[in-house]
Amino acid sequence: MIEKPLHELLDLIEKKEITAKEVFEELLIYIKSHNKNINAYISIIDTFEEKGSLLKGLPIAVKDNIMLKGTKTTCASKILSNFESIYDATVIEKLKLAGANFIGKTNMDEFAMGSSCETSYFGPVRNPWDKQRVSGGSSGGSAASVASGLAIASLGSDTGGSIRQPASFCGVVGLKPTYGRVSRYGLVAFASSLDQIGPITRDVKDACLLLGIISGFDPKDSTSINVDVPNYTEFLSQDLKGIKIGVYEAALKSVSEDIAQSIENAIDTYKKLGAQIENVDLPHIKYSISDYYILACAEASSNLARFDGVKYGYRANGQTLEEMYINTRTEGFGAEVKRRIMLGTYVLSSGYYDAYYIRSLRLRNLIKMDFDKAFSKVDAIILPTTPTDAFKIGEVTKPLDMYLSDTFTIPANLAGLPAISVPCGFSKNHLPLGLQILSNAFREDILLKVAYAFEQQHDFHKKIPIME
Amino acid sequence: MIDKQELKKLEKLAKLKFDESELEKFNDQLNDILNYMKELDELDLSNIEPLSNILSSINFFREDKVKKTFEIGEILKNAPEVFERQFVVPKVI
Repeated sequence: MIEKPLHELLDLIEKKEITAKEVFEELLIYIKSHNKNINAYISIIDTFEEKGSLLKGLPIAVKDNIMLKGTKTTCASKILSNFESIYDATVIEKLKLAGANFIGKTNMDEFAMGSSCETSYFGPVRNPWDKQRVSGGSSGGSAASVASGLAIASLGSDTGGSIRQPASFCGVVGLKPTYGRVSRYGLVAFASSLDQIGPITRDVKDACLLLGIISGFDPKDSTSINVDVPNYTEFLSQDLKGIKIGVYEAALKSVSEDIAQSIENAIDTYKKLGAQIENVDLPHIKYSISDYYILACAEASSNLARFDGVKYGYRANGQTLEEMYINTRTEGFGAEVKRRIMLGTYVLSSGYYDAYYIRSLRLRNLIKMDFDKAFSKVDAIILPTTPTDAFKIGEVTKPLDMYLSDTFTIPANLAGLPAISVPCGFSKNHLPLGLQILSNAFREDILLKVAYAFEQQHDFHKKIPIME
Repeated sequence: MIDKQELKKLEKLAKLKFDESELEKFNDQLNDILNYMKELDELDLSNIEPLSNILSSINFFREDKVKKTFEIGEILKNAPEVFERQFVVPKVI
């Protein structure tokens, strides 16, 4: 049962062929025997409650930077390794109301800073397709669990690709909603102008289902926006007549042949489905990495100032208050988090603020204008999700090289746009590849329709590496 | 570009502490990143407004109403050291 998507399990429950409790228990047994191979979870939840409503008690896995009352929320950091959530994030509240149970908190890069899950204090997540390789990150545990049968569906968070990149590396569907679509109340902040929570699922229909549940205005998050949440499943169809899909050709020239080929195949599929393909120009997205790492690190250095050993989390010894702060942060944060705090402190420090931070905000505007122009012509834009397939654990040693793996996912965060990664084939190393689709803000309906139509023409999403 | 003297200043601002070998490593890694970011120098951005609110520039305000949030016990639950209703820190005077 545990290899099926949520919507199929819901149908079976409806027909009284299975119960949610059976699914939960089968999953728990599987996690207990197989999690050690993947390291997808930081903690497991073994309490099942009978529930009705939409999800009928089916279990969801949750990234360990989202508060779920009574569970630890560690952010895969030593500094929060003992932190117990004292409230539910809004997304958790909404899932509970919709009848969800929870199966565990998933492993991630420390404070969501990373693209491989190698910065986790609890050790790297392994890619279910090849355990010598990374799961991607930062929501690597959420993606690897869904890919390997350790979860049916999960929540991740995406600041620069942290849902889509691991979804692509693990061969599952990952959706970053529009900035403002989903409340971040109860999500531990990394870069507040970029962070969004979204679902990682086995197929597009499940993404529709979960997005519909977690979306909506929340007075507790002043960046959430009060727009209607449609029933996304209603828009799913395989007829794309009248839909215009934009292709940014320069992106295809910069990736390896197998990745370019997988996107070419997607273009063919879309032509076959009646969509109109048009070239679009996004002249400034090539600067996205620089722009993002200035802004995200600046925001992170500010957001992580709260971890000082006073009110919660790890505390180191110190004779004076100052010494205690310094020792706590020095012992509590890992290397990548410190690197980003230092970079962020640098770009915000006097003398550099205008040259780096303000200039990056201007460039962000330019990138947004690129997309505004493109979306005045087309309904959706397709890009590769990642420039390579999943790399080996320990292979990428230079921080800059790791940052470059976010090259195609970052633009959507900078422009606040929704984007999805769906499986679109396999690399020459027999690893999953992802097709990324972007749409205009709050047009997840188009995004999901375009993603679903592609998915239904292939069976890439049905291949999951359940382990022996 | 950054140098070790600058890093020592940043270390203080960020309330972190590095030993010599770590400083050396960070120096190289951060310069590697800043070097890459030099690509931004070729852009003329003088006529573009800085964008700090991506989709909406309207502030949302909650009603100024008193509501029950958390019990003191819950707030103190994760504190490393507590005395009655307070957080305890090393002596400051």
